[in-house]
Amino acid sequence: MRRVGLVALALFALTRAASAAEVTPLDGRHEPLRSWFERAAEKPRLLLLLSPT
Amino acid sequence: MLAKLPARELRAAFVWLPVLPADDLAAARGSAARYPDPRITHFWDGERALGWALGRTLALPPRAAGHDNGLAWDAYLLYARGVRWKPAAPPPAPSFWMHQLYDAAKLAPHLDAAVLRERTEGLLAPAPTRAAPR
Repeated sequence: MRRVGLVALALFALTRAASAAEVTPLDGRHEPLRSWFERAAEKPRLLLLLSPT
Repeated sequence: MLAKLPARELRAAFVWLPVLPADDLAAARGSAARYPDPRITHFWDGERALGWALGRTLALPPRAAGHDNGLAWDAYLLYARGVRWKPAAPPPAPSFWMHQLYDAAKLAPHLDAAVLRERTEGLLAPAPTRAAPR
């Protein structure tokens, strides 16, 4: 039972990671966040997570 | 802070996510408009997928039942050159990070803009060149 729970948690984490990579820009361009991150891989990058209000 | 960092090679992603009751896409657009720096790309994480995934990467403690880690927000992550985000993998751990969370004091320092700027400048400095082999 515990193993089933761990597998479910791992699958959930994988799904969430995939969704995180697909976060897209506000301006409507389709460049997922992971692509943006990789395109700038040879530069220092700041990643800020912010509440808008 | 970015205004005090004129380096052209710096890139920044501002990821807006709903945390507080009035947070929505319109509010995110309004906030993003206040930061028109061309080095910044603004993202919307409406499902908080990145927030949860980074919460796991950063080992933030859970605040609510049903979660095995906390949500990353009010977080400021700095990545050195060469850090990669592998396909199908969670977001990578930052080279340095700060936050404004009450329950992450043991994990990383509280936000101090001067310190974050200093650490960013450290990563912007050119890498030392190796002496040519004789």
